[in-house]
Amino acid sequence: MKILSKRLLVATLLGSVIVLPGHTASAQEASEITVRYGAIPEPQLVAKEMGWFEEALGIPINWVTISGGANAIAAMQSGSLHIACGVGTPPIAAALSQGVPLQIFWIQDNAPESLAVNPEVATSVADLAGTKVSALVGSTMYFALVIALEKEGLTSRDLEIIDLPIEEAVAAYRRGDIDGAILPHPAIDVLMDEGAQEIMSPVDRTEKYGYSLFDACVVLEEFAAANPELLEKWVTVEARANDFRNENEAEAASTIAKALTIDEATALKGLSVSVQPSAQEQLDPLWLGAPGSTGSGVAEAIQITAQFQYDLDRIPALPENVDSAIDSSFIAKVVE
Amino acid sequence: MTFATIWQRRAGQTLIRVLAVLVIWQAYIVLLEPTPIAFPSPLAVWRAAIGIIDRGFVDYSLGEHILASVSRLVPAYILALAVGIPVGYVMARLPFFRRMVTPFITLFRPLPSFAWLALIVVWLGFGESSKIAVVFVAAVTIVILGTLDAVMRVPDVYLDAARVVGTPASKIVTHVTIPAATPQILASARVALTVSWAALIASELVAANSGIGVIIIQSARFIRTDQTFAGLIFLAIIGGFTDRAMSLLESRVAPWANR
Repeated sequence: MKILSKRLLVATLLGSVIVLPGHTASAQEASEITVRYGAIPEPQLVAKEMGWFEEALGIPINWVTISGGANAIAAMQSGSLHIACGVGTPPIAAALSQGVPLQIFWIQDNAPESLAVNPEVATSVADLAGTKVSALVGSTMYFALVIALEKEGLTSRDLEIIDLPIEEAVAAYRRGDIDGAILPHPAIDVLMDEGAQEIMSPVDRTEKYGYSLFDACVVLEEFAAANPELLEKWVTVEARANDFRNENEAEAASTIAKALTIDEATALKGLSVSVQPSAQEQLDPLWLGAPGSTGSGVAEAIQITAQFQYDLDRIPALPENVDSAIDSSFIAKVVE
Repeated sequence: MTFATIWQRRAGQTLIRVLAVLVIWQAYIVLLEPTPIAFPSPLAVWRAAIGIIDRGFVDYSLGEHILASVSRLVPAYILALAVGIPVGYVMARLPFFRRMVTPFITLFRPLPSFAWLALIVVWLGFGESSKIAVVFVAAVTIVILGTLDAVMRVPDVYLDAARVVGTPASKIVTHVTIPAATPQILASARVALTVSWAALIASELVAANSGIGVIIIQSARFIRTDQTFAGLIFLAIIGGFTDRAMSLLESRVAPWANR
């Protein structure tokens, strides 16, 4: 019995070492990849629905939705996810501050999320003191709200910020439990249909409050080094999807409407507020900048967000070298 | 052997077990070098835990986080016992009632707290009542089924013996059925307590500013695996204390239970 239990102990220990997490994917060229995408009205979703990515890459793609960019980054670290798209500035800043070797290789959008509030309660961000507003803590939405409040001379303690996931925020507004919410489309459209009024659009966020946010496609350094051709093809498809949306907006909206089971008008509205910089624009210092450049707009947005996270005691340190986490070389090749 | 030496020996054994886990943990870090955000070292977790003890987590101190969780768990758990034990007892005694209720309990019991959470938030909003309700729903079915089983298992020979000596029906309940069923009812209450902690963490996913679940969930949103681990350890310690308390209660209330 004693020998048996000793053997059992050794087997358990060995087993636990084998199954414990923490091993990143090997540096081999991928023959099948798992990709996190966002179920939101965007050109990438059109390309996914049309099968353009599989066509260009020539390998099977396992598409998954993962709630939260932080979870997506954690999944990449564990080796079960290869490309994470729709990852917002805050999880990227948090990951970089803790030494995760992320590479941002494509900007997907400008984080098109709007703040809408019951107009009887508040008609501007400055009016928000004493209200109850939902924002998912840690998301781009949360930081957009916190920074807008600060620019209006308020703090997150002047109002009640309720930490609600998207679906629950919509339900809470309908029940009258909250005065408003900052949400992506099409969820925010539901609030506006119920009478809420938009008081901060993504454009206001950038122009009025000087805070740019974005959602990006990211990979780990190791994957980027082993799969340069794959990422180049990926960027080609993203650029094609952007062109398609610009030239055939109605068809793009109809594809999105079908994929998300929403009506075409809502899909079209979501598309219209979502800004996609073209491949050429992404090489501008306003966005990623040319390969090897420093101090780009994206790097600055990450640094501002990291500073906020640090001030709020959410991250242990500021990221050391944000510029090296940006790799626009694939875009540069495609633009050539 | 005196009480003090027994206690010392037990504390020594616990310390050895904790040290063994720490050694394996550190060996894993040294040998396989996982990235810190995938699997932090014991030292990193220790620092994160000390940081939370010193400065709190976000807007609240550790004590306030614990108090918030406990003040949700306790009413929900007491309510689950207050409802679950009588319902289980009546089900065992009234076959008609048992046949009526059992299908619903077996249908709803496997539902995870997350599934309830979505519904309960729609019904009750996101306040404290919805968090208490999530814990209650998770615990009450375990208590009901535990009590039902415990009462049904009271051997007929006990009841027959009591009747033969002329014990009135009311006394059979208080002097035979309840004492015979108590150890198993308490055992199921102990299981329900563990499940309550798990459900509580799920409930704190929605609209909570404080609570042990907030430390675990929100630290994960910033990929602070060290803080997530620290939160899990705080939870394990508090959960361990409450489980120990239930075990002591068991031995005090039903010392006749077979061990």
